Amino acid sequence: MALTCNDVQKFVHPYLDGEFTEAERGELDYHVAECDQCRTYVSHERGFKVRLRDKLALPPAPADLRSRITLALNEEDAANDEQPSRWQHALPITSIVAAAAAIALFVAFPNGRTLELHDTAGVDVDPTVFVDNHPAPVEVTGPIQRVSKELEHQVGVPVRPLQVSTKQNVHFTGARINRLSGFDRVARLEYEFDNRGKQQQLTVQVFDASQRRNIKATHRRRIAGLDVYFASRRGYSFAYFEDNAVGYVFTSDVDIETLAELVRSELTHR
Amino acid sequence: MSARKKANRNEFEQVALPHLDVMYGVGYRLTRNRGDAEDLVQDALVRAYRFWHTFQRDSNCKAWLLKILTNTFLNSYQKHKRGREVLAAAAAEQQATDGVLLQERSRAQQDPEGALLDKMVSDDVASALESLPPDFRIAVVLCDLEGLSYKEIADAMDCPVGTVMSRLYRGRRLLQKQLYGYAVERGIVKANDVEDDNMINLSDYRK
Repeated sequence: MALTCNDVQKFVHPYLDGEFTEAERGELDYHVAECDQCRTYVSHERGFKVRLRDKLALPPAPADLRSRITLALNEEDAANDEQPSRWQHALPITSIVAAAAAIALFVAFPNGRTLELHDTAGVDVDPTVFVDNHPAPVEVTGPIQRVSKELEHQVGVPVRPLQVSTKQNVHFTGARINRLSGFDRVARLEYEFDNRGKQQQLTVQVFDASQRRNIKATHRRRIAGLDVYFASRRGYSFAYFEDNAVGYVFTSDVDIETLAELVRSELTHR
Repeated sequence: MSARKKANRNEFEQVALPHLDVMYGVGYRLTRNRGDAEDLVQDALVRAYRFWHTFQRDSNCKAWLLKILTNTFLNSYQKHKRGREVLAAAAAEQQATDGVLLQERSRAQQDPEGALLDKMVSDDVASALESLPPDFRIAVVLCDLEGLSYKEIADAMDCPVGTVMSRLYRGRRLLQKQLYGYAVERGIVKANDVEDDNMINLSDYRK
């Protein structure tokens, strides 16, 4: 039975999407070749498909996403080493979300001091509250000395520019005041630095340490006479320390070693 | 790390990670935001890694990853929007099929949407895509932007091929309709005369 124009209209999408076999295409090809109206129709639909793809073409995944995923997979491997039986049983896909939400960061402070920082609800502050994927526009830019004066005024504690050595080529890009849940006001300073030839971001958040909550960390290091607590989560590394009642959180999508190096450089140059 | 785990990680990196660009592309079209897309892809890949032992080695890895990606998107990134969008989807389906079929041929002859696309900025096209209900949007993105087969899309969306076809059909129609609307707004085309004729003119009534 010969195909009608209605059939063409009905099957134009699978036809253009390459869903028909050679044999199945034959009849459609024949009809389209013979019928001006259908030919125009098919070519318009094909044009739409092609142009849509052109208009919405995307760049490949950014390089820092790749490196963050590598870090996140390392964390998975490390977490598995601690609790080998954790993921042995397959869970239905629908429970994955709940399971992922339930994973808490391993808390361990070797010296027994647990940074007694529980908030009233007893909920620990996730270090990821310090990551903000939708940064509001930078509120202040300009020379860091002037900016830090403005920020100090708002957060009520000294906000010192980073003192790290020039080796890492750290430069200030902007700052703003953040309102994080559990904190009153936090000064957020954005920097860029050179990590073995790769430009990366470093966020330094400064706040009054008396308003701190429980910062969950995986390990502690003694750097330049201060306890510095480290954690990594979702591809970001965090460092937390207090200096003269001022709390500092360094966040960057580098590994903990690189971040520790930056913190060391900062603390030894103060 | 044990040798077995190392082999597992290597296999994941060789088989799953090459699909990162596709995942990012789809993630970006779903969330329309670079930060969200990166988070979504990262979450989905970590989940995929946890459940790597459940992946059937002879099946299509890209479709498997995209299934995790779309589920992650629908479950967490959309949660707050979901209820509203289900309603919108029902209304949109109604609209998509109402009367559009009848005019389709004549409209395709005089004013092909393909040609319209050429004149529109990518941002408008992206907005039109974003306006589609999630199921339609996912189907269109996987088919038209990523070139997946209907079978792969059905695997990724966990539905029969017939459902993929109807989502694609309606998704594309809605998209064309939306683009046409933008084109009228931007003055790229004039609103179609037929519509003007159908408008109720109060002065006619009052005469």
